[in-house]
Amino acid sequence: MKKLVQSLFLLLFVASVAFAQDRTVTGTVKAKEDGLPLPGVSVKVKGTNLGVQSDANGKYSLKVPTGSNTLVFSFIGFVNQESAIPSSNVVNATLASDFKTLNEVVVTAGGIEVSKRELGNASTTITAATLTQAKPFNVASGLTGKVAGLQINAVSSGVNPNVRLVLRGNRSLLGNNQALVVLDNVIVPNSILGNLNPEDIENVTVLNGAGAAALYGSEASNGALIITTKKGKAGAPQIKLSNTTNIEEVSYLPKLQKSFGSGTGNDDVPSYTPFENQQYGPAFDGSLRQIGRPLADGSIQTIPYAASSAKDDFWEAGLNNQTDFSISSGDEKSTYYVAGQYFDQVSTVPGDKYNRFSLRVNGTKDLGNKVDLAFTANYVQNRYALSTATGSAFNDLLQSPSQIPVTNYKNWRTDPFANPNGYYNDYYDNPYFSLDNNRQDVRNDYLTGNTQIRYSPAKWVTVTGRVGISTRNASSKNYSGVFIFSDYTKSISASKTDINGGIGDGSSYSTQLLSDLFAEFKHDLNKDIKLKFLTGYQGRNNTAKSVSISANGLAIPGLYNISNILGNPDASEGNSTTRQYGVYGKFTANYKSYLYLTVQGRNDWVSVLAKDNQSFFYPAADLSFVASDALDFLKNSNVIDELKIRGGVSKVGNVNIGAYSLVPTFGQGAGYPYNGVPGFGLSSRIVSNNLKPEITTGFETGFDLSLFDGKLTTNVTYYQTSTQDQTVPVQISSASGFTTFLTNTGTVSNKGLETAVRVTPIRKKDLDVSIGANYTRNVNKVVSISNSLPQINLFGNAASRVVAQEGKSFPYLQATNYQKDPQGRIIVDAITGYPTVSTDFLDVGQTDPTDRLGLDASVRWKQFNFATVFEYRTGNFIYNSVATGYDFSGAGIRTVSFNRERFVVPNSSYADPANPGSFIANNNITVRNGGTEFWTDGPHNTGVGANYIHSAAFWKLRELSLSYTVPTKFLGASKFVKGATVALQGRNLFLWVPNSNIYSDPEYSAAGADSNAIGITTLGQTPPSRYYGATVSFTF
Amino acid sequence: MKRKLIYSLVGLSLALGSCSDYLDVNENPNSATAASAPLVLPQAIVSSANLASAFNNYGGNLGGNIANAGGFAGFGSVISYSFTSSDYAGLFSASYANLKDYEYVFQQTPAATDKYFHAAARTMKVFVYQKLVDTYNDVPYSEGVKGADAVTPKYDKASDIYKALILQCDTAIAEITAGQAAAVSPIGLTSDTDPLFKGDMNRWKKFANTLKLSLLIRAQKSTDLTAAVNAGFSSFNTTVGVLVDDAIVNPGYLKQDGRQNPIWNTYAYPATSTTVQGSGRSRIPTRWMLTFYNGSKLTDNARAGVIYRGGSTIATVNQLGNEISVPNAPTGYPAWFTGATPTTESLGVLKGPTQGMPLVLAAEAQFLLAESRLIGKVTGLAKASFDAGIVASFNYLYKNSSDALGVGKTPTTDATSYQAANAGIYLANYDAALTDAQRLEAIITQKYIAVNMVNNDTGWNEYRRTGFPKIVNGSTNGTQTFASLVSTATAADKLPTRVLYPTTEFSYNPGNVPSGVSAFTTKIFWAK
Repeated sequence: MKKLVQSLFLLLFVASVAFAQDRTVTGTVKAKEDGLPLPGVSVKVKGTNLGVQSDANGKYSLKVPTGSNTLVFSFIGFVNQESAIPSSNVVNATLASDFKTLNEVVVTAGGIEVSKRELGNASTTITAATLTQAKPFNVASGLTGKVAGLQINAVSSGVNPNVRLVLRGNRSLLGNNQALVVLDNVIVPNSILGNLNPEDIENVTVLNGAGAAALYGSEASNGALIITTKKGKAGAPQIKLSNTTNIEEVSYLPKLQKSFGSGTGNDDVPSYTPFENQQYGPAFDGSLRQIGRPLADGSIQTIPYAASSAKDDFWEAGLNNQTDFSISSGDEKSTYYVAGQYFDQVSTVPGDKYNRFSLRVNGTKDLGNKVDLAFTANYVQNRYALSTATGSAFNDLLQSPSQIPVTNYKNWRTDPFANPNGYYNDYYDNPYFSLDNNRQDVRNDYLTGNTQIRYSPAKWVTVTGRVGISTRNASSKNYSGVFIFSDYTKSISASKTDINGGIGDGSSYSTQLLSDLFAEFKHDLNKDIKLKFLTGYQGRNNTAKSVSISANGLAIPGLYNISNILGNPDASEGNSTTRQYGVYGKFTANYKSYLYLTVQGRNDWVSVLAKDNQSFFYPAADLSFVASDALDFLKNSNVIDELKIRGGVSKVGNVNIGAYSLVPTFGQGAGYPYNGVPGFGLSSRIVSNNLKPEITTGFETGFDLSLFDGKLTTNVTYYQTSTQDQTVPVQISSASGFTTFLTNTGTVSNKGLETAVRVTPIRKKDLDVSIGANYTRNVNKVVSISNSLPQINLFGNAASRVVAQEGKSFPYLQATNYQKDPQGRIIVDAITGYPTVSTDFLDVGQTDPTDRLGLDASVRWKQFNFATVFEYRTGNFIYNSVATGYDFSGAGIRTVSFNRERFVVPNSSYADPANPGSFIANNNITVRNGGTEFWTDGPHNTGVGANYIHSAAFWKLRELSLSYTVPTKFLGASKFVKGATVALQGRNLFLWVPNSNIYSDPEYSAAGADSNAIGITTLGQTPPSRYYGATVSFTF
Repeated sequence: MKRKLIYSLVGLSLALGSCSDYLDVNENPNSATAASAPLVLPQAIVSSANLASAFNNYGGNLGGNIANAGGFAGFGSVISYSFTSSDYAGLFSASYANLKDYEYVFQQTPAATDKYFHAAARTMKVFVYQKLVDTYNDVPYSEGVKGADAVTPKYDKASDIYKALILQCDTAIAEITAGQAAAVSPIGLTSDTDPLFKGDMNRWKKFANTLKLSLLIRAQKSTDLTAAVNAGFSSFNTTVGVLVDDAIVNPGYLKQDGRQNPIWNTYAYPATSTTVQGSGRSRIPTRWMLTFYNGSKLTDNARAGVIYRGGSTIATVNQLGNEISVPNAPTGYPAWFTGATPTTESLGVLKGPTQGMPLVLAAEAQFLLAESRLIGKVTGLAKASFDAGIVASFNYLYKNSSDALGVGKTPTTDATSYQAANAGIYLANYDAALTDAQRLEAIITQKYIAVNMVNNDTGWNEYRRTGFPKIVNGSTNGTQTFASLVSTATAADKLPTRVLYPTTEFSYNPGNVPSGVSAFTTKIFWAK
């Protein structure tokens, strides 16, 4: 195996150049605290790049050239140690734990590593162990709740859920607000996150604000996630193999009524309708009743008229299986890391499946002559097999009365009662049929990689060149089957109409090429003042293409090919190319290593703007003051280990338009071309001839503090930003001939607090306890939009909408409510007792949480490791666009609030006939009907948005894991297996929500991950899941 | 070697960066950013056909042609008339969206050689603006469809717009006439670029002249426009005359998704299915409309036979607003389709998916002429135009979707038989009318019958202008009024006077949109 890998490596690279090596130094590295050997310690010959790592027993062996006589031992979390090489050529080192974190390095723009003490802006680094402790299959899930300021929403259910990542709240009204993702120093599309093997990741650094990230370019106005994948480690090859099996099950079910069955009548004594979807029939009595209509042969089903749990049982147990392997090795000249993963998921939605295969090769090589090379290549492919009718199947399910044994109808092809011809329900399909008959197969292949050459001709200068690619190649096929109802069915059920089937096929690719070239210069002015200067160039080219074709009506059922259609297909094509380049400079001055001033600036040129606006410059500056090194009373303190005070100001431009947005377009008119004759019309949008980037200016300030030998650490950051010149398609009078005018207008302000505390009360050989908390508060406000436009509607329906409104936080939820009297009582009709929906949309509140709290704890006891993460969010609202499924059907728990009897609308009043404009408290006028006439009616109930709005607050048990590292002595004498771990883990195990939330996970958003319009869910988001299972891993 | 590599990398990056046209990649490869008049005009005309269909639906709801069918509920303001500013809002936006394309053609064609396109765009603007004024009264005109130059256009007085439109008709006719006389003929419209008249500029002149007559007739009693109307009539070009053939748009409608005739697509069948479209199921004829066919007011088995499934004795009729024991639409068929099967072609209103969409019927032109003659503004016999109008109506309804007369159908004979069958009834026999009021009632009633389910809005406009066909105010009998049974209208006839300006205008043009408009009391300037 080793041989194979080595020859592979040789194929890829030129052989290394030999050096003169005179003597071999050996030794053992141990930890000072517990005296145990330390594996993985870097042992280097001082002043050279020569080095190895200590093995599993802490031992190392290193050839040292003539003239070198000092070794440097370094290991994360320990104080560096230098030791002279004695004539014995044996150097044993004992490393002391380092509780100071300011010397840790952080990857910043361009991939340049700087020590934490230099940074004037907030950042958080999450290590591999923390990221993958609960075995998430999506990197974003592994970050959730762990970083102050980072909000991660899994906006959908099902396989590989979409994830939205936002740092410091939403700034842009309509543009992208998601954090920039940088993978191995190369900017990649956000979608890569869900397609990255979390096991490949060494660490993730979150740069919360624009200031820290500005050198990455204009998209960094949203902050950045800097992901670094694993590199090989020098030493003997280390092979890891692991398998994780997780069960996925629905963790939160909507609350449904279990008292009433099929019926739809308006009468006070409801009658039973055997083929009805609505559940406004008589109360369950356990008697045997027929359901549906008789089949052609006269047979009919008879079942007990009693509630069943079929609707809850519809959601199946999902299963995830993940197999990982990795090989890591290297010598003093080169390292490599090769890893693969296969992940397979079966959804809780019957029939939905997903799998992902990933392969990675990372390598480094010292080419000699002060040149080194690094490269990464990652291929990922995923395959989805999904239903496109999940939302309507969920609706079909809710339109099934509780006595119906829905789960019996899986075999619709063979079971005559499950077949659409014989299905009991006259109006809604068998959900299993809906899922089966409307399918989608999706294929995505991703390739990301980069190659970097670094040249250090002298101590004071390093030049780095890098090219990266990120490309996605995708295809999809949507299809729905033909179903022709029998004449018998059509004759008895008027609403049954044939399904003609259809097909849609699409393919697309997108490619991003990135090239970087930068140089770093260092100069020590004197022993106190040291200067660094970085200057660079970055170029970027994005191309994308998509083609799709679709048609309704299949000629031959079951053949899903675009050639097999009755009519003509619709086809579309989209192409885009955008380019940008930037030059940047960054200057850092350091006074006595405790005061750092950084000034930076970048100028971008982008292709999507008009010539005169293509170039824009944005500067930033920050200051870092390590008080604990500067001030004597802190330096000598027994309590305070470290105190860093920091602050920064920044300005970043963000271009929020796509390619080709500047010139209004003409499109073929509806129906055109007719018989080969074209006809074009103007689009409905006009564009300002002076579109500019949105500009975010802001500052942040904070401190990092470490006390009691690192047993208590904390950091606090306050930030404030203002984003001006929002790119907004202002709606205009349609009498202008157009409906929108794309222009720069409006300002959004954001401010907030990010804090984190960690306490490590016990840190002993056999027991280590650490408890952490992070808290974020973000408040944003739409300061203005435009004179003619106080509000932009982002998403919604007739009852509720997510808007950006002047003076309100963003995004903001509005909904219709009942018409109310001046005292706030619901006005009802004095005769019918019915309330009426308001014509206006009333303010509800913001949809982004104001406050978020993450809590985590980890305990290591001997060979056991326990870790958990909780998250709490509050301050926001959500609207569930589910009235049809829950209340129209009568399945929802709300519909039995008054046991289906006539009731007096709580806190209501009616107009005083004697005094127009005044109202009389209503204590006795009941609604005319407490069944269908009230609960299914738009103006009385279902059209009232406020009825489906609740607090979006939640507590989630995000992660829970327990692992056991098998002691070496149990692994046998063969030494073949060097390490083994077994673990149990769970994610999103529990969800606690306010009693008012009777529907679903408030993290969901029907508008999708890329839309700012969070705050509305539909039945398209099926119930949320918990994942739990076990992992076995071996190291060879 | 490594140095070389780095140098070449440096070189490459600089080359990319310093290349001045590196960023010149913003030319749209997906959509056209310019289009010539011949590419835009046909699309705009077809959009006007869609618009005509939308106005037909609106006119049908308000003007007594269609009622709610059994099995459907939730008609809301369709039957209560309690309009909000979102009801029929699409008429406003779709009209201006259509005008924008005509304006584009108009602006692109100032050259002498482009005069035909120029005049066609001008004429079509008149057609759309008249529909807007007839629906909303004051609307943006002088600042309308100016794009970024007027994102909040001011509203012009309805009568001023009418005055301008009358002159636009004259200009259009003059432009075409000049072009026809010019030494170098302007670039001609063709059957491809002109889905309305296939490039026949004489028919364009007749169309413009008919629109002018329609404007004059409708505005005749406006005191603001007395001079303009008189001038308009005295300059009325009798040589050009009015439409003698129906002005029908047909770009080559096909039995394909999105390419069917808009009326067919609204009320009949989708291209790939024999399941009746939603509006074909949810709407059935009114009991009121049947009285003009079934002998209650007039006997007209011939036209009813091609319009209604079941002819004048069609059972699936309702009174608007009646939601109790309402018949469903005929099983498997919309009420206005008389073909043997969903896939056979027919005559009447719903002929087939490829039928053309009439903008103005020749019958309407004849009835306009009849009224002009009745009031003495145009010379000639009103009766002749009246009778010609009835024949033209039979003629349109007897045509199949290929615009040819159905087998065995003779409009003149059947029109004569129709008048004979209603002998002595002045609504069908001009000479039986004894007063000018009765003569006008006859003309308008016949126009109302002619445009039934073809241009329903015309019937509704003429009812509001003249009060014909006559209804019994406040009656709940479906044969005596077409007002909804659940009307909330406050007027004596229980009918609304108009629809409201759309929400979008209150949101995006609040400084200009007229306030205080009532659906029950605010009238169009020409209304009675």
